[in-house]
Amino acid sequence: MAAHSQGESGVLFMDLRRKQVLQADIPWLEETAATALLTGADGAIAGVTALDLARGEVVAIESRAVILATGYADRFYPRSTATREMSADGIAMAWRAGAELMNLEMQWWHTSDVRFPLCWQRTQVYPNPIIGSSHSARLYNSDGELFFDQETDAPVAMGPYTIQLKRLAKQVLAGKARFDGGYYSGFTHVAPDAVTAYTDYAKAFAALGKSVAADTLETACSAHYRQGGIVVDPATMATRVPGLYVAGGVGGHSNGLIAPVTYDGMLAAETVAGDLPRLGPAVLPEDKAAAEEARLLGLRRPRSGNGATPAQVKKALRTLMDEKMGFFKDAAGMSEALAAVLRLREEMLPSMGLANATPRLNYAWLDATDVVNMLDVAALTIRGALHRTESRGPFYRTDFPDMDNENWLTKNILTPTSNGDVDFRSEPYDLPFFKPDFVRRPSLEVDW
Amino acid sequence: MAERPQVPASARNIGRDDTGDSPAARLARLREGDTVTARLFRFDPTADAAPRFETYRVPYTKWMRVLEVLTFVSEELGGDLAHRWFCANRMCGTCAVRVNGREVLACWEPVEPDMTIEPLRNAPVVRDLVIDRSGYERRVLDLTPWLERREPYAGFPEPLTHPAMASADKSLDCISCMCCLSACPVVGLGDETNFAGPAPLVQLARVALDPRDGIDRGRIALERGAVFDCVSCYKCEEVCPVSIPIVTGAIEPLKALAFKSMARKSRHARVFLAIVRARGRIDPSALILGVQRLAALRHPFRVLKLWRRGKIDPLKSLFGFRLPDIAQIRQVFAAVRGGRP
Repeated sequence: MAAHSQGESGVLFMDLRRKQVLQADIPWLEETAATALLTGADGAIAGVTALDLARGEVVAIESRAVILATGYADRFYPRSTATREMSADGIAMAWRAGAELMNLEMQWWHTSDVRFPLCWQRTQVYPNPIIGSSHSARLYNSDGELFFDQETDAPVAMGPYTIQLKRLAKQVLAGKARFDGGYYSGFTHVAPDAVTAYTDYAKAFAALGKSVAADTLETACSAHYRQGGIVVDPATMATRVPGLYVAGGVGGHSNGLIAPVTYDGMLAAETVAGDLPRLGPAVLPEDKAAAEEARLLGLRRPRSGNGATPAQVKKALRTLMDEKMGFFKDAAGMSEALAAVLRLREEMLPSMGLANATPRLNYAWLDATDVVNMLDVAALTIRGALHRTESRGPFYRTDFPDMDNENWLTKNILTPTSNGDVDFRSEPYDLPFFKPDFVRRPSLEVDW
Repeated sequence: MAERPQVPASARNIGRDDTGDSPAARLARLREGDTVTARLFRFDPTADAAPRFETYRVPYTKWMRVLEVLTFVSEELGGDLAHRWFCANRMCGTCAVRVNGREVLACWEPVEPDMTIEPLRNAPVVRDLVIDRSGYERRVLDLTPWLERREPYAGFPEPLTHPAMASADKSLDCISCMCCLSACPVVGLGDETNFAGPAPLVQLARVALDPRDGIDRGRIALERGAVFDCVSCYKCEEVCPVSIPIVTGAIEPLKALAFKSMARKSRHARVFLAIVRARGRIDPSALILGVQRLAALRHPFRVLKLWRRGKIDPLKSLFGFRLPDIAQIRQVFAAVRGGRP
């Protein structure tokens, strides 16, 4: 297949893979969300439980190898480019199974998604229809002043997200934009033919009754990608949990762009094929499967009294993350956020219930399972952010505004302890191709 | 530079400016602070005897989309509405519903002050606005719409030009939302026809019109897709949210491939051509009779209805008519290679 327009290749890739699975007659479960990794007495993977949303059933699948490909955790935030299911499930499951996590704090952002309609959180007015040329979107502040032009600010698009974000942060500090709006993007300087030939952006303008040739659209930040996740050996896609493998953005090794994701999938499959004889036959731990089923059925309880719905808990978490874990953050705010997340977990979860306890296609039930994962991973993310005492790329702390290459050119790794706590360790990156030429510099002045 | 539309005109937008239904006009109907009234289809086949409608009132926000109304009902009004969505960006195709009788993507369609929102037609309802997509998936699978190369893959980069892919290009936009299947009157006939429907045929056109493909897609379109059952009513194009020219860009080219591959079995095309060659223009009643033969008489009331509405005129067919300049038409037939049935 060949995508004919920027940003469309993922749809075609997924469609093609779906057809290949169907063609090969590979069994699959439609609209089914994995909920827990089951491990045997040896700590190795022995299976997985899942919620079949369409049928309203809990299923347990015996397996010695599981490849997690659950994507990001971007739905932590009120605005996100992620599909609705990217709610930290994979990260939470892997952590509970004993995997290590890294760089959870490295949340990336789109800076040029339209602000309205509210649901178009990943509809971009994106600055690279024709990379490095004048045919790319420009960002303007609330006074109409140009503050990002890819042709001059990021000519080879090596780090356009980060550079845009830092340019926007300066406008926010100057009071001429907000992260949630008050700035604008558009192609008024570009011939409309170029926009329509290479992108789909004109369709969004048209759907809003606007002209791509004459109008700009108000834009806002959306959570987009995370350069962090499960620690994985990128040569094999294996984690430290025997039988657990990772592909794509849920891993800490990759940002989840389509090319590395495709490569990951192939590599993980090849590794699993090689490892299966060594892993041996699976024996489903019936007790753990039964316990997980009981937990899931417990989450389908009807709401009573003043109990919150899962959607209300999600909203509370997203508001919290937006206020305390956005681009500008500091130790005091993050500590408050961590305490608040723990309060949500302790005070809202026990009384959380559903408006309707029907099992079939009950999205609130799915939301309830999401909420548990999101709260757990949000707490880990905040702890990771508190631990990294510097600023780097899209991660910024007002109390540590410098990029610190002496101490933090490293992975920020979280290891689960036997008592349920977290151990932190740092591991330097191997940098064969690029080494920064400074030790410490204000992060906002660094173009990556 | 010459002026040109920023977005190509499509059947979906024909007449919308004239009827005051353009995107800008839609957005001007409501302002922040207004209320949107939504009548939502509710039905759980495992628990309810019959479907019902429930009415919700939702505060309007700037440039609001239908999906935002559904989400507000689910999340803010304590509802338990079942509705699918994943991307909210016109890419996953899962949020399609019918709003005031018209198939739309909930994420892309602006709200109206009063809306009746129902599930798509021509597929079983699982719950509320969620339909069972498995029938569609089976039809797609049956058409084997994946590339079967004429020549072995020679490696990257593969030479592939815009002109070579021009025919297949628009069908690549299909997001399998099933809006066209819901709108298609032939699919709505159920078991009376084996028509695969617009969306599966668009999937087939993706590969059938790809110059790298090497198998007989015309035969598949005819034998498994019943492509000639399409009546070219353009309902599918009217509702396609990504503006695919489904009839002209996918189904008609598939009909041509089918005729080229299996002219004898392409009865519809042969009859169509024979009528035009004999009379100079198409004659609907002769076409129906020629294609369906005696089976056309199985539904006498339908025939009468078509007659009463002027869609067919059996008397005219019976006594024959012929355009006065029929000789010119026949010259065209003689000049076009392969035009003879």
